[in-house]
Amino acid sequence: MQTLHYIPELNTTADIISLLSDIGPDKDVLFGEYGRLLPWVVQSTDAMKGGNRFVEIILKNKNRDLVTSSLISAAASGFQGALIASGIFGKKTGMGKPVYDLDPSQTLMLAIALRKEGSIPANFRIGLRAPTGSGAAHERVRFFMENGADFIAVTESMPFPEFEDKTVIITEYKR
Amino acid sequence: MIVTEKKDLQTIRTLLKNRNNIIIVGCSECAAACQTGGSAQVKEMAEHLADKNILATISIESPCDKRIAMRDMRRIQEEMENAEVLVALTCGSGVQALSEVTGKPVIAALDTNFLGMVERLGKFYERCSHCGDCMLNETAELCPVTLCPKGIRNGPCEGITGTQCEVFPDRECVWNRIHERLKERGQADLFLRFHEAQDWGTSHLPREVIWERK
Repeated sequence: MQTLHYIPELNTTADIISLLSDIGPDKDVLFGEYGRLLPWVVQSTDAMKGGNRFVEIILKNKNRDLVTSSLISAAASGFQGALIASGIFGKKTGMGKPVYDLDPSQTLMLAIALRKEGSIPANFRIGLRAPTGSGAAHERVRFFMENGADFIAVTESMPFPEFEDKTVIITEYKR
Repeated sequence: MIVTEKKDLQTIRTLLKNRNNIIIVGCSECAAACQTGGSAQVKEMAEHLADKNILATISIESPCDKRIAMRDMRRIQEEMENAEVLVALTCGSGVQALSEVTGKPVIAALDTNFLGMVERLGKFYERCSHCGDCMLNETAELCPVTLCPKGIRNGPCEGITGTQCEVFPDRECVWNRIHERLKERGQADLFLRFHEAQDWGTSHLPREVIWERK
């Protein structure tokens, strides 16, 4: 089973290189969008060398146009795949309006369509963060797999034995 | 029902600065049920503004309906002629209808919150976002667009913790409730029916419904 080492926040390019040397350059890495830098910046660094590089595309505060360009940009930037997640919703005073124009299922359908039309390459892997812990969650994961997802990602081992070969474990990297 | 809340009185007073001749307008429907714009609140507002020259107070059955607003405002036509401003204890639609009907400046004395389901007086719950693309027939009469903080049409999201919502951990995830209800009804197949993203090409603001005459 594949393990993705998750760096949720990218704040400086120096930080990225430093984190990567800690993780080990040959490991598979998932770059998140929670920092000050967008993951595309990784393309301009040596961080793209080594193991597989994935990018997490969070749907929060992106409308469908931006989600589309994020998927195409991820593929064009040399990432091996994207992990789709709705994104954490935190409440605080004075916050902006949260936008969830597309949900993960709708984004999966969009990504598959983009792959079919050739906007992203056929070998660009599409994964989704899996909901876990209930029958409803299990059904949603089944939907992902039946509708073309290449993998699902979880933070705990083996919640979906029937999809074992398509499950990726995410290990959050903490310094 | 349109759920409203009172603006603080100081805000109203600031907006009324240098204006003396006023008419206070209430709503006998939604705002009355919310106890924000019924006849008692109109009277209360008149007492708060006792230092002003209150020409009239009136409660209109549906001030958001221009036909009714026009009809009822005619009853105080004389006072209207001398009014500098109206203070509306109504929802935002009511404020705008009164402005259009009277041509006078109207001060919104309430904040308009949401379309609410009433459990009992003082307990109002948002259950419909009037998205214009109702999916209740497929979700066991639970609206995920409203009840899911992310408005997700195909849930649950990855944030679900057991059966609980990521954003409100004390609440059950609506998609879990939908799943349970559909299963109980023998309609589990509906759970995985794919719901397309909303077509904002037909539902952007401001929306209008105009009947075609036949």
